Amino acid sequence: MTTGDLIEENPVLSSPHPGTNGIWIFLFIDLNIFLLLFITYLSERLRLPELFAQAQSALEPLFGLSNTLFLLTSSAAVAVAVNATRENLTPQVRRALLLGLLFGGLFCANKIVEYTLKIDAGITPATNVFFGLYYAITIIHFLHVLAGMIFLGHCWSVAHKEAGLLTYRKKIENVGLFWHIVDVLWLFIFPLLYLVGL
Amino acid sequence: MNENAMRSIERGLAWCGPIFIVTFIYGFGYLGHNYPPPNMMAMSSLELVNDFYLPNPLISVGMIMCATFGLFYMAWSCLLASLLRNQDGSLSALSLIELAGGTLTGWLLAFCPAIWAACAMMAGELDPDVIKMAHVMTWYIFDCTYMITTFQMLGLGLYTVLNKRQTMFPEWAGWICIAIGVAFMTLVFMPFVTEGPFSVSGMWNFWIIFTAWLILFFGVYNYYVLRYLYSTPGEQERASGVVRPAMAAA
Repeated sequence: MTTGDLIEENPVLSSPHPGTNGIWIFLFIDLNIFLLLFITYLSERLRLPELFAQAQSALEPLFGLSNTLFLLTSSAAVAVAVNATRENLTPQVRRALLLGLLFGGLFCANKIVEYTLKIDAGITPATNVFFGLYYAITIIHFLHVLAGMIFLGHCWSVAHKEAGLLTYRKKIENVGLFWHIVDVLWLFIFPLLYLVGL
Repeated sequence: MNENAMRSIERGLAWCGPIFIVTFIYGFGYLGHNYPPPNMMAMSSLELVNDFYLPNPLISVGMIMCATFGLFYMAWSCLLASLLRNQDGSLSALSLIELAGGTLTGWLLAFCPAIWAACAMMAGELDPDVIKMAHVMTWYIFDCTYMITTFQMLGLGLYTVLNKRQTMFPEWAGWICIAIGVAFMTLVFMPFVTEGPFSVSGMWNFWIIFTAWLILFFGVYNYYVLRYLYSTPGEQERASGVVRPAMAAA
């Protein structure tokens, strides 16, 4: 039995699209949950426009902008890693994943600084409806970033052993898809929370 | 045990699911006037008693109904755990997590309404502050121990997604199960907010979360459990993913 036969028999490895079916199902569901969160935010914003405008002015758009740039750069690095995997360039895979992790780490550090400054200023999820939503949306997104970094770290740690395998290619494609969605979500969250209404 | 008897028992346990849904919606939602529940963190004790409990004498009836039928959820969860088997037929850690989570959730679904029934019965006799304390504390127990149900849903969802041999439950149902279980974590905000989507009566923490749990998790898995139990023994054997000794030898 050849490798080609094994691929053909294995539905996971033979799927024509990047990643496996499971990750696409998961991402679809995840995006729908965020969609519900965004709808909830917009609904409350319509109900309390003045409170939202006033509370939003307490946010620093620079934090949001820098986080956007960090995630975009990280996402680009992960895309390079996925391509390098397809070309069997293992050292490049590891370097690109490390870069992705670095910029992911910068996002996390920036976010923690922002939360710390807010809490020191007495702004918590209980302050008002806007900040309840701000913390809920960004914390849930932040947990996605942490999970993504764990997956990226795992891919980096096993790259030297597994990078040539087809199963690794599907794994890194899955992780890459997840990481790109995390990035795309932030591209909606940043203007929604920090910019709209300014 | 006689196979036909066992099959009948399993089907009876499966119907505990729909019975729970119907009686809980009626008892908790309609009779209990929880559509949505009063925003207790923004109400004084007098407001809670005078505006919620005293004008609605059937709250106690609804809550006692929940105290009875809430444990049907436990029975259904036990049946579900018995279906989540490894390839060799043994129960896995995921089955046991589902079992423990489902049992404790069933307990909450009966225990908390029993306390609210007491609040309803005593509202005209006790100090309103005492009623509010019992009411609020019970909601904290009901909502803030969400991790019980999260673990149940993680156990079930991971089994569904990771066990590629079983076809009882589709993969998408497992992912939804995991997603809803994790989404429960916004309930941590409930004690601290007096208005908005994360309050006890809020759009997110009441309507979206509980409706999603009831329909997309409980409703979906109810359907697939009933479908499985009403299929032929041969179809059940193939769907369960369990490899019988004769099959293994072949």
